[in-house]
Amino acid sequence: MTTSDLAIGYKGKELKEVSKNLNFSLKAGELVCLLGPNGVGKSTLMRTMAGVQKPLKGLVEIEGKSLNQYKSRDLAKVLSIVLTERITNTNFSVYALVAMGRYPHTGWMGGLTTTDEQKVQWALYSTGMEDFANRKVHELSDGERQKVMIARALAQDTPIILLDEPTAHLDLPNRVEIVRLLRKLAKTTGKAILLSTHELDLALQGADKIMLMHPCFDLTCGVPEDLVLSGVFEDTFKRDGFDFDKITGRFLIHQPGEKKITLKGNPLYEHWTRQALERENYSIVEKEGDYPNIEIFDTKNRAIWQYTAKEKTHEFHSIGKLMEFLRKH
Amino acid sequence: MEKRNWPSLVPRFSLLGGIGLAVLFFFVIDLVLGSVRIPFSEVINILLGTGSENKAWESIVLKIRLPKAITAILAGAALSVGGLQMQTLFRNPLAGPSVLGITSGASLGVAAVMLTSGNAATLYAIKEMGITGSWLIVGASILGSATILLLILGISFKVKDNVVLLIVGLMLANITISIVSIWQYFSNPDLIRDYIMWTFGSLGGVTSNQALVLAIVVLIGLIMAFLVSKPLNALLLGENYASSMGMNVNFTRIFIIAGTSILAGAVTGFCGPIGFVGIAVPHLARAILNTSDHKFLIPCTCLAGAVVLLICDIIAQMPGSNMTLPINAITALIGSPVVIWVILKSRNLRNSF
Repeated sequence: MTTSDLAIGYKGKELKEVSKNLNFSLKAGELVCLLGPNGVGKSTLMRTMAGVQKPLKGLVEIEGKSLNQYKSRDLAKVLSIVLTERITNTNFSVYALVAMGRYPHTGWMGGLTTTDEQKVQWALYSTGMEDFANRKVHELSDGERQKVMIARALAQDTPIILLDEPTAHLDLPNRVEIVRLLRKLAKTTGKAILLSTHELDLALQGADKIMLMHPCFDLTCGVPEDLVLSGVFEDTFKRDGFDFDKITGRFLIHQPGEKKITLKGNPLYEHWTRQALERENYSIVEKEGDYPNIEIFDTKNRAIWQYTAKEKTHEFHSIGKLMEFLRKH
Repeated sequence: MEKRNWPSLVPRFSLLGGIGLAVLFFFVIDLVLGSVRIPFSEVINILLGTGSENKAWESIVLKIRLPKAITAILAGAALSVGGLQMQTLFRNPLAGPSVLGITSGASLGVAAVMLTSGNAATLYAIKEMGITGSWLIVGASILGSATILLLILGISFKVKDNVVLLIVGLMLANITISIVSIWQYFSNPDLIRDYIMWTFGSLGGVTSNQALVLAIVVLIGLIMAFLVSKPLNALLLGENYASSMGMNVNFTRIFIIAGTSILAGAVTGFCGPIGFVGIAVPHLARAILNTSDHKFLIPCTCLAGAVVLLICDIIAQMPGSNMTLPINAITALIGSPVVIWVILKSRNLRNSF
């Protein structure tokens, strides 16, 4: 799937262009994350790629054929989607819902052939939902339901799957599981999978390629690590007033504090103590000087935080106690 | 892959057979009971064509009771399936075949004929042929519903949003109802009385010839509904998913609206406005089958609708007495408690929409 010089938006009384100059391609076996802040046009791009909405300019092509040359039924055989909207309103069993994915392949009555049944069963196995086949969709948790919808897209048996924020309603373990599942599917089945998300860390770790959308820049594509090293992320988020830490791949929530302090100890304890201190508006100074100092002694049974200031020393057994003390002084 | 028992996509099919038998049972009961007492064996004989010694009985069963029972089956099936389609299309449990204003369109047509007829010819026609039995009234009512139907279809080409369409339909219904009431306000009380009689609805006014016409039209509507059972299933996932799976959303929507209009329009034309059945029976069918699959819901709704209207008709004619109650009142009176019971018991209404 490729796009050339694509411009997306809405035609109303006035032409509302959401984004333009979109050039990218989606290759088989790739998991691509579409990243960007809310309102940048991720969903609009998804809708345009899925043929729900016409592009204002430019072309979307699948296997060298323009999207508007596809009949809706033929398009449904090459491209399937998973949407954010929750499916709660059906009394279908999981098996029946996944079987709906066979829609473009079945006749007018929707009867399933043996091949259809095998595809449905394969989709359930691939998503690890085979034990849920008998359950009703409305009995499932959000994470399970999302996996069922992915299974439905798999049963549709298309080389391309688009997912619009598939992890939006989910907690961390479920999010990780979904991304892991999609990665596995991209690798084992050779499908091209595009998902939109605004979760940076998941995209950085899971994606083969990232497409970064931003209102002020053209669309940037690349391997996540390249984008980090070339400073694209840093630039993008700086415009919005965020600091992006290249080393950890995270945002810095806290501005550097005014109170200075030095810190020493084993890396694990130091990392978390540093985080707690930064939250309390401290900034950690690397070189020794006339600053208060915290040293962490990591003994076999427990750790001790030793706070030294103005030649007085206090000892604490937890970060909580240390913070309590610091707040008072 | 290991061998495992995959769930069947076919719901408890034996239940469908059970409801089918119920249709037969209540059909016969409906023929046996009535203001004139006719023995069960005689009714069976008459039905089987062996005839009866009492020619009056034969005439009552074949000319009055049979068309009425057949009309009850047709109207029950038609209104229920129409309601099912509307509930799915608009994803709204309170939708029925009348939401698009088709029923009130029919009322407008009938009101136009009845209330304006200062002219002697129409009055004569009504007097001669009975209120509901007259082709004039049937024609007016079908014309009225067809007008609204064309209007709704025209709008549904323009309006892509189903919620907007639903609201437009309801508003359209309100407009026609208010036109009718203005008309009533300025009309002769005698004419108003006739019109009000019509709004009570009646299964008994349909002659054998008319029942045949009704049967053909209803059959067309039911086949249209069955043809879109697969798209109806897809619509349950929402229009976006449905179109992503290759469904032509616009075509399907117009097809569903046209089918429902034919069903509701024909029944209202011949029997007057019969409320409630269209909203209630689809819920019954869902509770019975415990599925959302329209391939099975449509036949089940069909049969259940027939049973419900047959039962209502049996009660309406108050066996053993000479009185007949208006069918429209009975459907709501009997049906509402049933629906309340079903919904409270199954608690899966929320999951169906």
